Amino acid sequence: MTSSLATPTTTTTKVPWQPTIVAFVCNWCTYAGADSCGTMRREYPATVRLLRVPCTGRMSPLFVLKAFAQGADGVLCSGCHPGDCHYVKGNYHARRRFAAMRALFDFLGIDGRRLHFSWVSASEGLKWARVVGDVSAAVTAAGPFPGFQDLPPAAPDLVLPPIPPAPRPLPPAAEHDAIGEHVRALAKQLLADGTVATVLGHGPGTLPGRMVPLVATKPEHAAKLAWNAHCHTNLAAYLAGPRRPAGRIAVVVKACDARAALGLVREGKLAREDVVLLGVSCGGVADRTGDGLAPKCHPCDGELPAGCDYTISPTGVLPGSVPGATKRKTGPDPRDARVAAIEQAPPEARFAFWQRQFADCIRCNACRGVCPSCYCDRCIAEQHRPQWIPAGVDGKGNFAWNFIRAYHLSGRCVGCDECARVCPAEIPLDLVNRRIALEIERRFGAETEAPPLSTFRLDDPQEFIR
Amino acid sequence: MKATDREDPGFRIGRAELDRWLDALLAAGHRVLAPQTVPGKSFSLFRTLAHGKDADLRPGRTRWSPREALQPRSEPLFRWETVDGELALSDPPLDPTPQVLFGVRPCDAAGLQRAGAVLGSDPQFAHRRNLTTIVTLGCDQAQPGCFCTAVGGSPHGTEGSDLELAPDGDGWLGRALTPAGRALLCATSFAPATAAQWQAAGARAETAAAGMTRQALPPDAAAALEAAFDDPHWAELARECLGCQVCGTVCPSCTCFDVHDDGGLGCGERCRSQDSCTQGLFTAHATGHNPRPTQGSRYRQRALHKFAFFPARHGGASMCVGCGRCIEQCPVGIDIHHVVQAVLGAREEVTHVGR
Repeated sequence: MTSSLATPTTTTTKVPWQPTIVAFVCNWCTYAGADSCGTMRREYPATVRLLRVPCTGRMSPLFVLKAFAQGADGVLCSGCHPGDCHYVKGNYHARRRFAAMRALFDFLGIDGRRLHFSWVSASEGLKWARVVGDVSAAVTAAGPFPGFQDLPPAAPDLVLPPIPPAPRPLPPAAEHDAIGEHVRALAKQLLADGTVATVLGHGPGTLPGRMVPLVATKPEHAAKLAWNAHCHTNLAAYLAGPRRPAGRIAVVVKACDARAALGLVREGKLAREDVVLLGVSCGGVADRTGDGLAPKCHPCDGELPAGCDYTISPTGVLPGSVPGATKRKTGPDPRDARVAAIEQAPPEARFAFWQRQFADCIRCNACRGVCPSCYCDRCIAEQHRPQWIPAGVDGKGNFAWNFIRAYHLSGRCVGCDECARVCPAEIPLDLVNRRIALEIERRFGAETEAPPLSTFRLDDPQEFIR
Repeated sequence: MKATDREDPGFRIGRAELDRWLDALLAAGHRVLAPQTVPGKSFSLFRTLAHGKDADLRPGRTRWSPREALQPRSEPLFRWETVDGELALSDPPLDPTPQVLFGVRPCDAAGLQRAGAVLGSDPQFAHRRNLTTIVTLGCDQAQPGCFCTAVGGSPHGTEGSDLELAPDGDGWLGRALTPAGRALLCATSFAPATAAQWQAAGARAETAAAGMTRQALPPDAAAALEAAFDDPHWAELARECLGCQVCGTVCPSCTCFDVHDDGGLGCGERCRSQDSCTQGLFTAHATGHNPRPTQGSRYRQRALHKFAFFPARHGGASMCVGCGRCIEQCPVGIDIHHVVQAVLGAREEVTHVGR
């Protein structure tokens, strides 16, 4: 494996140890505040290195990742007080992003004592000295950052609670067959009458029991479509970008898939009139064993979100999303108990847990491939100037990749858990996504018209900002 | 050659003897990599063994191939450092520890041979390969994706093997095939195996082979596929391809890499990391032009490299060794054997809904 960042052989030893803190400061407020602090001859610990950014709205978690990867022990992000932004609302956006990035760094084991946020105006030189003092003390207490390393394989020191019994079994085969019958009939009709050029559904693959995405472009192709508890793929992954077949497309969707498709509409990546959503009364898909209900389906009643074109239930096909047509018995979300177990562990244990998980990441990008919300023409992981996400398949690169994948889905992930299902290393990516989703929901509410990190409220909570 | 035709009767060992043998290899200073169950996961991987008893030699293959032991996913090519204004270059240190890949499935051993055909003259790959002894473990069960028999392999194939093992009830039959393989046995005294035992093992391998129902490729497959370069089916067959690279990253014979710099102020490394032809950036030019602009053309490259270009350059055998991992791991179930057969016209008229 590549060593993490190569370090010069001629290093000077610092005795006693002092933390290195990178402070990303807004040009208009905190930078001037630090300046005024100096003008006032106020002393503060010489542990911070200031990096000026035009606005906290320009702040990206990539900066923080890079700082930690390059050897920082702590990071401070500081800008103008809400209402004072030189660009009117940059810091309101930043405040939401800070909340998401803080939750994610914390969950992945970057000790909360290492990452700080503050509002310091140009006239608050004294506050700047105090903030740096407090942050410096906190980072000193956290100690040197161990760095993103390849931890040797070992038994997990953090054991996740088992998945509780499912609230309901998988639906009986007769129900699947009835739905499959309706899917085939509807697909055939839509293709025959020219409503759509393509129907995207599920059909048998080449391995026993395996269902795969099928593209039907002629009425006779519809005969191969089928429905059962192994129709895992979130077909909305084919709706944005160059993968989408030309012309109007009908797509078979479960409740989670429908949320993803409508999310693409919300984000302007898909014209609503270009797609026909064939919502299925989904009783849930199978877990890894193939016999039980997948954990993500425990809390899902199968109800389609408003906005589907059809509701396909075992009894027939109805237009629109029909409330109550698909209601199923639900149970608690098994992911939440597992997220809580990780959160309750000390930061060092969390960090070791995730470093070991990510050590098995082979950077196959299957998580990105199956994700309906990952549609960038050129993923941040493939941008070279600068290379924000290290290409090396090692502790540093893998942490950066897994961090940024989850962060970019903040408030956008629909919880279909396809990334976790296809991960060849079985990294519990669903828990990473879920942790951010819980943070977003708690702070900004469950449903918003715009993606939560693309908007803001004037009174967003900011209890974590100094 | 069938096992029963060989002159060397080989040996038969039980689990306790096998563990002691592995422990002896470890004590002799070898790094031994063997399949081990990954804690908390449903799969096994080749990992450095601490104790012989940790080796998991049950039927089935590791989630991905042991190619990492010869070609790490990322490795430095050289290191630079500026000392007093002078640029100094240095080679990365090469680990001189001899290593044993233990319990490699015949498909993987063949795959490592194919990778060696491409990368064999690379100093770092060659260094590791020269220090590596491969102990293969024959199969008596086929996994759902297995198709070694369709590409000229066998569940008891010995290509690339220094010492072969064959499962035999609660133990294993074994036989050294090369001097390096014999060297692993020099400090041991195992009970000899009998011809009848080898015959029975051969019969079990036949059963495993019969469990693989995928049709063998025709002898002229390479030429026929290359001639089908412009076949319109490619675009349809790869329509579901998501452009990830899981097929290449789990493959025993894929060798492609990307070169990048990893450095800071005054020092750094030029590294190479795995890359894969199925993702768009692989052939993208700095100008923005991409000679493989569509997913269909990228998937075609993967299939043709395995089944047409490699055999043409390296004589005969396909680069694909039929381990089936790419089929099992593909998020959308694309089946390279089916695709190739479809293009060859060996199946019914292909439609993308015709799997």
